[in-house]
Amino acid sequence: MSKKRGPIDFPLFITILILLSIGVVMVFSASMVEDYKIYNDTYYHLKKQILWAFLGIFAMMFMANFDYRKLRNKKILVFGMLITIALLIIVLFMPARKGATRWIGIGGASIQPSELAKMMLIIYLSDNIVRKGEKIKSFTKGVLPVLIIASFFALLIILEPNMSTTVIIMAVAFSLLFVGGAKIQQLAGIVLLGVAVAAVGIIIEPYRMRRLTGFIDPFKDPLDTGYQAIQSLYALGSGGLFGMGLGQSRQKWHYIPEAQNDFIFSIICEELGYIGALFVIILFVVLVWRGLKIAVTSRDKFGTLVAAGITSLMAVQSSINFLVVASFMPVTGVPLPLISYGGSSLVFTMALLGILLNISRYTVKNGVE
Amino acid sequence: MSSNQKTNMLVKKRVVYMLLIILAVQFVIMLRYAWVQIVWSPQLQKWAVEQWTNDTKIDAKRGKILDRNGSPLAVSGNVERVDAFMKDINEAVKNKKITKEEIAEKLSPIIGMTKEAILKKLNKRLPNGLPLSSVTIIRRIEKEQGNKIRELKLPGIVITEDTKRYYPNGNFLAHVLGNTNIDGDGRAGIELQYNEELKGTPGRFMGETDAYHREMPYSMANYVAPKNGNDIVLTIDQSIQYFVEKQLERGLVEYKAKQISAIVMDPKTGEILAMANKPDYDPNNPVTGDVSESIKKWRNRAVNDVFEPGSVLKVITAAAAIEENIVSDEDRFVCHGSKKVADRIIHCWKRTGHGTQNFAQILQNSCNVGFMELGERLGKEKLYKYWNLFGFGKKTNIDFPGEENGIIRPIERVNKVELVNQAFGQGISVTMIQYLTALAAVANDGKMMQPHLLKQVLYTDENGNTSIVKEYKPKVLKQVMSAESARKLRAILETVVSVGAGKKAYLEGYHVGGKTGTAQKVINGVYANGKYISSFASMAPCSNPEFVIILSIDEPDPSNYYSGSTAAPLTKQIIEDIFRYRNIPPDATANKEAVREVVIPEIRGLTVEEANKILRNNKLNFETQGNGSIIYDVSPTPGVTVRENTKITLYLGMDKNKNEKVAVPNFTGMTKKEINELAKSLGIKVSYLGDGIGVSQSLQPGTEIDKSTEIEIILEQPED
Repeated sequence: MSKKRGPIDFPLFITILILLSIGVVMVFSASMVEDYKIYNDTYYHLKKQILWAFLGIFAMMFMANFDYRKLRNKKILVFGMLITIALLIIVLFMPARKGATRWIGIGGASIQPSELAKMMLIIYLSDNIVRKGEKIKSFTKGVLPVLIIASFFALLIILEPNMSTTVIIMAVAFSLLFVGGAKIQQLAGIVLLGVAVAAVGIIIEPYRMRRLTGFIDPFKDPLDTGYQAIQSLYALGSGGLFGMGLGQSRQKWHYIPEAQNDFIFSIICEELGYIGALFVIILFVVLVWRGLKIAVTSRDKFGTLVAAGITSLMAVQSSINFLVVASFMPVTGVPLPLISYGGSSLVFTMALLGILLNISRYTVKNGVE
Repeated sequence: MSSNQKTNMLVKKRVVYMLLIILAVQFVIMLRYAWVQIVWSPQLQKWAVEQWTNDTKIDAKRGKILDRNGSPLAVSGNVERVDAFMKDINEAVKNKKITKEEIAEKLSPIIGMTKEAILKKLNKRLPNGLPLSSVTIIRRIEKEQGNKIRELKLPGIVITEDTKRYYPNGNFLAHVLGNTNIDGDGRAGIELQYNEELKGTPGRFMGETDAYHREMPYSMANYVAPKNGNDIVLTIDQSIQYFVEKQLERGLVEYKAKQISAIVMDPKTGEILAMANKPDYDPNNPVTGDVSESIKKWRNRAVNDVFEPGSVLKVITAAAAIEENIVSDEDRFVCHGSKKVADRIIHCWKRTGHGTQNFAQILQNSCNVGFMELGERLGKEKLYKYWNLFGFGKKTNIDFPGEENGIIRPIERVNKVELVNQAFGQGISVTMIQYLTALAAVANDGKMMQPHLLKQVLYTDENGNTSIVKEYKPKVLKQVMSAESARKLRAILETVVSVGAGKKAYLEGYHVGGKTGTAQKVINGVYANGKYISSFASMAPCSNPEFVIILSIDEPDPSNYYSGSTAAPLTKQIIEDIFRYRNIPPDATANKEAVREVVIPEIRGLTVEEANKILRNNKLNFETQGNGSIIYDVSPTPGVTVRENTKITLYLGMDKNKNEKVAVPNFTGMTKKEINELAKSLGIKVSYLGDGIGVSQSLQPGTEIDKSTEIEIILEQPED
């Protein structure tokens, strides 16, 4: 293997920075009203987001310069996995926020172990699949162990509870299996099983059922289950084609609570219209395209898998967020990567993208064997 | 290709598949956003705007209704209203701070609504299932209640100003004023007629507000301050209205009437000075018990109902006769108690007949035969010409809702019998306001004025400066007769009061003109037995009338229903009160014309001091002859009718005359009750034949009789 590194994938880098900038501006626009009311400081979230953005850029630059192949180092993998599992367990004993224990407070900030879990899972499973080689085509020796590891993470996360991250983790694991070469028939079986499990989960938990019906017809219960969906639709609708103008959102005036978080895209749609929304969606398409291009051109399978894993994570998170905002999916709390006010999740996302950038420096194009 | 390369190929293929899948999903997302943001957008935007827009109506303060001198008759007081803003309540409920049940429970005792009723309002939804942004819990609660609710600090429960209509004088002028509904809009009377003026323009706050109903800073908030309603100044004079209502109340009780109404108008301007009906209602509580029964009580019968005027209409027939010059002072009308018209015998109310009379006398006596003659002389074309001129069968267009037209038979269907009937006031129905407007034209030298209740519209701005928005200028409608004819007719009407059937409205020192009218009520097309309408139409001072009055009693007690003894004395009291109120001194020239007669009372056997008191009360002067302390005899004899202020002679002695002869008084025109009283005071016996008022007696007035002699008096039901 060559030690020679090429330049990072510039279009990806630019896309990331544009998305990050849009995020900072929109976090400010979406949060200012509530910030003024709650903290008496219009810039409360803006200041924090800028800080997180710089931390994120630092994490990204660090990872972009950190040879991704070193991630396969056994010490890193084992230590990383153990830390992740420990944190996932510790977090369950943390004081709950909004009925869930997802955060571990460290000083003034707080981190979500599930974010670390996503990162570690991508790295660990990619390494695992590469090691399996042709065995991946076997169900018991290939697919099942991968699923068990992912499910173990998922189980810990579901206990928080954090349904959406659970789903995302399983989706990423599935993507890795898919890219890693698992048999389509087996994967199809897993999908069917997943659907069945989801159905049972929905039936045994009445609040999930309500969420589902709320999604099908949000106007049926506009004050409770349908409230967020309706408010989001109002934002999209009033944005129309060209939007109400930057800063002109009405829905952020407490109609959409904490608009800087999971529903920030509603505010983007409202202020910047369909044009603005399309621009952001396309940026994500570009991000996916560059990410998968890096995966394809990566010179080793580990690079391919990690790149595909990171890209699929971005794709799954952004797609779920878009679908929820447009009321095409039941409401679940998934932030829009790079845009939503993030804190630690932004840093982890940036770190992952840093890894992706690092992989882009070792593509076929960039170097000679 | 090595297996490693093969694997790599598969992996790369899979990545491409993944890209395609993700692109497909993103494409669906783009379409979905296009659908929501372009196709669905107008609808969503509309809903969103509804959500942001707080369009609050700010009620204007309803204007006052004042009498012509500025006394308040209807005012709007400040009260409060309670509204519930659902977003705040739902949020509080969601955060488990309070339940809707608890809110309802806390409000219930303060506002006196059941918990269930409040809950029902809190759970109200729009027809499309969306929740209301706000709902009104209750309106018009007292400030005290509002403050109690404020102290509870309930989420989303907002207390704001509201207005309530107060009628400070209760029933006073109720039918004219009308009343308002729950929204503060007029629904009867002046409140309805001038609702637009009174209600003002509601203000509006239209602005974008956040989810907590606070204004958002973007667009200019559209605040339109409410413009308070204008004040309505009525032509009604509170004092005159009071005089009228007092007499109507008295009459309602005294004559056991079903209902009683009166209007006082200034004939020179058409201004209504008073208008009242009894029984009435309290507009502060317009609905008590049954709603439709309550609404019936709101009827201003003086404008909204028709009645058969009977003999008061003879004034207009007489006006036509004078104006058409078909009658002269030399004309003589002979009444034998009936007249044959076509093939019908039509009786005069006095079956025994009025004998030979001149034109003035047929009005004084209200002789039907005389008026049949006038009707025949006029013919139906001319009679109808005057009906039309005086406005019968047509609305007067007084500024009051629900005026009736009155009923006159189409001229082509009027035959000879109906012609003469109409000439003396039968077979035609008018409203009181219609009749009074016609009478006012006679009073105003033939100029008919537009009757009206509105005097001014005032506006008081925020700084308390009052300006006149509108002022009603008296409007001459038409000249219905010459001033000369009108003056001639008024002179005759004055004699109706001084010597005729309207005697009981005679007021010493004043020129009062008037006409009685007692009509049998028509119920379902036939004259109802024992049911009468007794009316008295009058004007004063007759030479230059300042006011005209119509007073009408519906179904007075059949034992005493004659207009001259019911409606006339009530009217007299009203006129007297008005004269006193207006400081109009008695007119000396009126005294000369006054033909007020008194019967010399029995004072024999009394001391001079005792007699002095009685005579003074009877307005008689006296001189004494002889010495002694006891009145021995009187000249003329007790029972003789003399003019007021006649000087009689008292012969004094030590004892009274053993010869106790008295003169038979003239009982004509007296009611049974009055005859009884007079007979008793003179100590003579009377017996009656028939019922009603005295028309003839067995012994001629002036005949000297012994006290034991019984006099038979024939009574007749006057239906003039």
